[in-house]
Amino acid sequence: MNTSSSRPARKTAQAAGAAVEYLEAGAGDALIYLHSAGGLRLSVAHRALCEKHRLIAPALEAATAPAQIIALLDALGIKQCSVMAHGSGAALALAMAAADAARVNALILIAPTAVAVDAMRAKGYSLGREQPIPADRLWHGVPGARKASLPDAAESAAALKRIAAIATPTLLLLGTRDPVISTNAGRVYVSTMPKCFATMVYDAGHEVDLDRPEAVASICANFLANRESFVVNRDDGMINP
Amino acid sequence: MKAALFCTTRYGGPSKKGVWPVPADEYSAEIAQKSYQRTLSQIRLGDEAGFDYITVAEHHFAPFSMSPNPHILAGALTQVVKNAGLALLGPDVPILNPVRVAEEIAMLDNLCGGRVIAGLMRGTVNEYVTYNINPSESRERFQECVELIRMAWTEPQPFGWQGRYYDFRSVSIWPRPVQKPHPPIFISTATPESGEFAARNRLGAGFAFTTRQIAQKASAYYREQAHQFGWDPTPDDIIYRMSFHVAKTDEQALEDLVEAGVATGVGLSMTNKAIESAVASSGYYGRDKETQRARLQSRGEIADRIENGQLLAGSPDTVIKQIQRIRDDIGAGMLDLTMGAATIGDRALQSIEMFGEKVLPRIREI
Repeated sequence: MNTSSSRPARKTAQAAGAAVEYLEAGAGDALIYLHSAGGLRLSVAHRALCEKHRLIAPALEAATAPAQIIALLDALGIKQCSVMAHGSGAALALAMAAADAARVNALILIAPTAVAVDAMRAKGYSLGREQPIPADRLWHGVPGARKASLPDAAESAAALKRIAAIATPTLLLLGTRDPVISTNAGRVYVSTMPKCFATMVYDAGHEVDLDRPEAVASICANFLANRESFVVNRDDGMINP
Repeated sequence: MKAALFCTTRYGGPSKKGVWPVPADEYSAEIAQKSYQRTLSQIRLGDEAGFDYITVAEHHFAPFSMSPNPHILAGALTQVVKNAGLALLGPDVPILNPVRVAEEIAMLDNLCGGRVIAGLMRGTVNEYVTYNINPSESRERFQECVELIRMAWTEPQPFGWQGRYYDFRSVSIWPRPVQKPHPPIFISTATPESGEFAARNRLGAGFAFTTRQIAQKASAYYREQAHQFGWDPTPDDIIYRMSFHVAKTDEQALEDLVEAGVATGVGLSMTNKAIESAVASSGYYGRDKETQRARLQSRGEIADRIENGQLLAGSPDTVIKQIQRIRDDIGAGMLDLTMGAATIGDRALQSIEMFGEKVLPRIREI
């Protein structure tokens, strides 16, 4: 994994009449990161992805609608991108893919809370349970507890209607120890979206990329490079030539 | 109380003793085939005698048990065994492909109409040499395998798995198990770590290659841990493995065992001391290493083995008392019984019949 200590650069751009702050790092194909309700933070998994991607991570407090993110991309001259989102950021990512399918060529949803939340509520999954953040895996952000949250039933239903039409290749990452959402949530996405691939990240909680950064970086890099065919193993299996 | 019959598929010819892996320079295909047929005959008899389950297990590179893939033997048994279930006790998952294990067990559950018990094992120390797996990874691999196997059985949509030791990009097994949500899972709970894992994940407990005294403590710990996790195991959740030989009288049973040359030496996993020492230093045994190594050491004289709960031996009345003690001390609801005097021909078969006719009906209410 990239061990560079360089930090992402803080920048501001005008988008749809508002100043949007964002972090930028790396070079290559554009990768937009939409953070969760807990706030903008980046892990060492993001840092690893910056080896081959130009990461743009807007602060979503000022840009909550897909049109604003799309306007930001226009302002930055980004015509095509992949979109990665965590938690509640997934709803925005899905809305972007629905609104501008030509621009979004791949989606990565990490522990998304966009749909199927009522069943989770009924089973007592957490609303607002605190998740401790290990400082050594942070690349940007504040260590300490974060609160997760789930959308209401109306938002969830709206997102479910939307995703059936999204044909963008989508990678779904779910932690097997996530106390906020169940791995069962993956079924909804996989059975509804025509090109969705769910991957269980073993022993990860809701902050999947913080708990298993190498695993997340590896699978995301593979998916971004190969889309649907990421399922084919291209690793060198030779032990001793 | 239930009982399973475990016929170890022992090779019936000469072979080198005291080594592992065992050379095959004296191997005879004719003897091996006859050995398998003898095993199948014993199993048919056990099924007819009323044993609740027929057990298969995994061992490698030795004539003691020609069952390197227990699922192949179990597959044959689905067409041989009419009444008993199949206790897979079981695949050594850390050295295997967990998705393949999930697939095979699902197939077996279908082939026998939903009568499989899924024992997921870590394997004895020597098994890590078999497929070149680092024994220091044994427990972590095992725990990851159990979760992955369970998900493979229950997740209806294709999924990938990004584990620490296993990486699968797309899993969607066919067939699925008959039993819902899946066959009952048992693991060996000899160590505190495994007792905790079983308790946390609501898995059944198994004890083998141990003594009554050691298993009593381990069983109590497992049940105590389970209680902390919000559930209380019943006897149906605990299996105890031991040898058995029943005869008309206690004296006859002991004579048979002596004639059979019941071994008093070390077990399979202790045969190769270099391997055992290396594995022991890897952390394989867990935090109570000395207890775990000790239970695999010499099994002592026949009387000691009876006292230590390693052997049921005697007349039906005597054996029933021994079984009651196992139940009282360990809380086991099923005994997994290996043939204590397998080499003495008809009397070994009579022991199976006698157990079925005179012991089984009387232990149902224990």
